Amino acid sequence: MTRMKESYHHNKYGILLMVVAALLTAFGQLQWKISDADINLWLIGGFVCYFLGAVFMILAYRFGSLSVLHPFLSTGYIFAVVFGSVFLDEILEGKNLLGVVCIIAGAILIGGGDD
Amino acid sequence: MTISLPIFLLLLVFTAMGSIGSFYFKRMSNSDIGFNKSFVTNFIVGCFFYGSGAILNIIALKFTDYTILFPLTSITYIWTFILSAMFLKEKITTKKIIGLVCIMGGAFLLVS
Repeated sequence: MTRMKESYHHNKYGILLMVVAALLTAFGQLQWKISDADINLWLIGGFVCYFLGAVFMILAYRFGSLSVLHPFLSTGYIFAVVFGSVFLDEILEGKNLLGVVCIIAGAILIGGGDD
Repeated sequence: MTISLPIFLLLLVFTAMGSIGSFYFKRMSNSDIGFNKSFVTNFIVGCFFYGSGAILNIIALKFTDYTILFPLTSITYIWTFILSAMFLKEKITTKKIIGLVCIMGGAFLLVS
C-alpha cells in the first residue's frame, strides 16, 4: 500500500493535468459531433479544445511517468459517455455504467502502479 | 463484431503513431519550455505522429463499426508501455498491466 501511495505522490500533478486534458479532448469531440462536420463555431470550438487538450498533456508529462500518465487519457471515455447522455440524449445501460467502473478501477491501479 | 485484417493492421499503425506522438510529448518535458531546439523539435515530431494517428483513426472509422474500433483504440497504451520500458527505463508493473486490462474491458462495456 505504501508503494501505491508513493506512486500517487510522484504522479499526482501529472494525473490531475492528464484528467483535465482528457476532459478538454472529450469536450472537443462533443463539439465536433454537434457541428456535424460543417464549418461553424462548434467545429472551431472543437479544434480549440482539442488543441488545449494536447497542451495540458504536454504539461502533465513534466510531473510523472509516461506509462502512468498516458493511460489516464482513457478517463476521456467516461467524460464522453457523460456528455453523450447529458447533451445528446444517449441512453446509458447498466453495462455501460459497469464499463465506467472498470475504467476508473484500471486508472486507480495504474496511478498506483509505479515502482 | 468483426474487424477485417487490413483495418486491424491500420489500427495497429495508428495506435502506434498516437503512442509515438505521446512519447515525443513526454520527451519535451526534459527541455525548457520555449523556443529552444529540443523543445520545438520534439513538439513538431510529436504533433506529426499524434495528428497523423488521429487522421488515420478517422479514416478507419469510415470502414468499420465504431463499437469495435473505439475500445480497440486503447491498444495505444500497450505501445506506450513498450516505449516507456525500452526508452525511458520505466518499469511495467503487474498493477499497470492489470489496470490496462480493466481499461480495455471497460471500453468494450462502454459501447456495447
